[in-house]
Amino acid sequence: MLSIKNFTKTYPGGKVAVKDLSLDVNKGDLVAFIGHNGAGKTTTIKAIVGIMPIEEGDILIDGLSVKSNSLECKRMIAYVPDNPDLYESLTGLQYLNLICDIYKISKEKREEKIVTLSTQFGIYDDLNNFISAYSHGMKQKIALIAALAHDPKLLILDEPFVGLDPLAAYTVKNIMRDFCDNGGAIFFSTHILEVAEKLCNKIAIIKEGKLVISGKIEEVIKNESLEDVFLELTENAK
Amino acid sequence: MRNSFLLIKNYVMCFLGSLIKNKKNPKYITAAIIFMSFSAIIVGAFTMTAVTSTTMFVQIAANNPGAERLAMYGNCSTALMIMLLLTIMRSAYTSKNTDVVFLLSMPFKKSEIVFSKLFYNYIFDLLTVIGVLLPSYIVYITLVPNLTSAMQAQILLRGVLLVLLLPLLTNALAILISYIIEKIASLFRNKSLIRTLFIVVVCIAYIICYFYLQMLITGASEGSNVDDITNMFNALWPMKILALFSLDGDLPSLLYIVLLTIVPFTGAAWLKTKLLFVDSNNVQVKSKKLKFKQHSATYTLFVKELKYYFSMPIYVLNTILGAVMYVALVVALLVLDVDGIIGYFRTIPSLPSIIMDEPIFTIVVLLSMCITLCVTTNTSISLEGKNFWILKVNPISHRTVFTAKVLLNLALTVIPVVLGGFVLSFKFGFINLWVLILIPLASTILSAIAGIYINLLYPKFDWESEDAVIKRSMSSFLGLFAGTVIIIIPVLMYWSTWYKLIDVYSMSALFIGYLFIVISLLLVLLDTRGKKMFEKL
Repeated sequence: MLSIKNFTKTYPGGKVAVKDLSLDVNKGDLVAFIGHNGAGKTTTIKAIVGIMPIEEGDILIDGLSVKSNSLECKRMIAYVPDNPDLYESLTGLQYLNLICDIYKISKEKREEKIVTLSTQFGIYDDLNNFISAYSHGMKQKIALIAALAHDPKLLILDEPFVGLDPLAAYTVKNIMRDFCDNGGAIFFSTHILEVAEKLCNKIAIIKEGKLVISGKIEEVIKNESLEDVFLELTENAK
Repeated sequence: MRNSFLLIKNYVMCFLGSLIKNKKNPKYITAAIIFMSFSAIIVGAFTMTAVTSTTMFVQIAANNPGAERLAMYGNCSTALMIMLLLTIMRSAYTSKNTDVVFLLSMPFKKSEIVFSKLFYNYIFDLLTVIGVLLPSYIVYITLVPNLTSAMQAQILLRGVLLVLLLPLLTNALAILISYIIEKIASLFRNKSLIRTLFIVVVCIAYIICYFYLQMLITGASEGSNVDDITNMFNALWPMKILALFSLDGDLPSLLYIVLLTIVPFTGAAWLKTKLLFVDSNNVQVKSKKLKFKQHSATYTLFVKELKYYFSMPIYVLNTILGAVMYVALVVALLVLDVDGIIGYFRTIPSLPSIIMDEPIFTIVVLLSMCITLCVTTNTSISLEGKNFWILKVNPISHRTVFTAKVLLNLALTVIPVVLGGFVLSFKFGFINLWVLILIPLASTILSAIAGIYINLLYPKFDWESEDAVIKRSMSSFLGLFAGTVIIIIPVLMYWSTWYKLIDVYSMSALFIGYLFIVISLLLVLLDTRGKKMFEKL
């Protein structure tokens, strides 16, 4: 579903943010992308979703290169940033309708999806309010609904649990698990190692732009905890 | 006080940092040179106006002693108009105060935070007033004869004092207007739209004031009785105070000036301190009925652009003026004598008589130049700001994004252009309908498309308030005049030599062809280089 091939990102000034990163995410995979602040997680994610141009290496979505088939790739994925800045002059519903229009979702289907998801997230009653009046968590929920509304094959989430209340976090975890059980794939960054350990079937650890390890979670952590493995790997990689 | 200056220093450093950040980029250096040249031209234009009016009143004073004092009234009317313009701009700018929460959590007094913010605004207003008003005082003391050195020094000193004090009043009035508008807007669900509407009303009031003052000045220059002219000027009380203070500097006028500036500023600062971080809850509604409708991506993005546009008073104010000027010119052409409107060209000796003999082309050029000033696209990509990720991660082509932005621009201009052209054809003949509609229409399309390209060349995404993009960005400045520059080149060619070779209608047809060729070239440029630039943003 997602194949990152020798991706390298160098910022102007020469700082290498990500170096020669290769990674595969298959259908049904729920992959946590873990690393320190500034390790290169968000840079990688931004390249996958098309925010950042790819200069070295390539990223394929369902076999299509993000470089040469940008729009086709974007139709298959959905992205939720860690801090979703949304159009504040629109209401929550107007924003969701805008995203649905971009993906050409029929009136009936969008109604079913938006009503179901907004009820699950407890935000249904606020949909006609302006986004400028929303809290961070509410914006996060709207961004998640928008991401799920068009049935993407691959979900890319940057710190999806930041700002969510416990009930919403629980709902998101269930939705993520169901999404992957139904053949979708999720690649998400997180600092919450307990969630990654319990929720995911695979993990990838990045340090200073280089992939330290990736694979099935039981193969990576063996008899230890993810926290111990993470600290050990990131310290040893110094 | 020490804390306030610490904060002011911080704001200035942030501003300078945003300029220095791009110092190595050649295109920003070019743009900075253009910006500085343009500022110099503006200051030069105001200085020349002061020279012209002062010379005229000095000549009148030869037969009417004391008439030279009227030149100072001219200076003061300029000061008043600038003051009002700055007031409107300030009140239209709704500060987001993103740093207030952070600052309040630190050992700062509210008054220190407010003072630092007001002083920072004051510096920008002061620079404008220095550039525009101070040269007129220098012109006055230089050109008016029989002024002793002491008198010259006193007038200049009082001029400097006025320059220093007037920005206090602009800030005070702006705070008061913003407060009133905020109070009214809070009663409505769509606060930002109400805020925009009120600011537009204030702007129209400004235009009325401007024309009233212009009428007074025109009347003054045409009149012969100095006393009558002075009385006419004195009818406007603030101008009388400003003029008397500048000329005589007597104690009552000084007291009035203090009352007019320092007292309202202190009151406004107090009001702002009281209102600092008062959480104005948005009117919340519970969803009763959700409306789901399917539209095309272009339409839905266009509606988004429209809602965003009308939610920002400063955006509306900075762009709608061209359309307002267009409508005003259409009305003036219908009501007034055409010769009175374009008669100014007769005073330029190098221009050929065809400008007056065949006025239709001249009129259409003026209309086109007005409408190209209504350009929203030159900042529309920058204004996506932190929301730009939405356009990047979703499957929207660059064409759809550009089209939606151009459509917003055209939504503001096409209706006045078509209606204006149609109405004017009643006066200038239906045979001219195609000229009256097609040239301004092509001009507005051209400036809208050029605006997109300029914004791609000079994008600015790292801003805290829209004000930084709309008023202080390179794309905003360059985009405003791009359309005018493209239009004026063939027009000047025609007026200089081509008029001998082709008639006005052939020139109009050629001009339309030229505009559509430039539009086509710009479209190709946007679809090739523009696409790459958009993808790299």
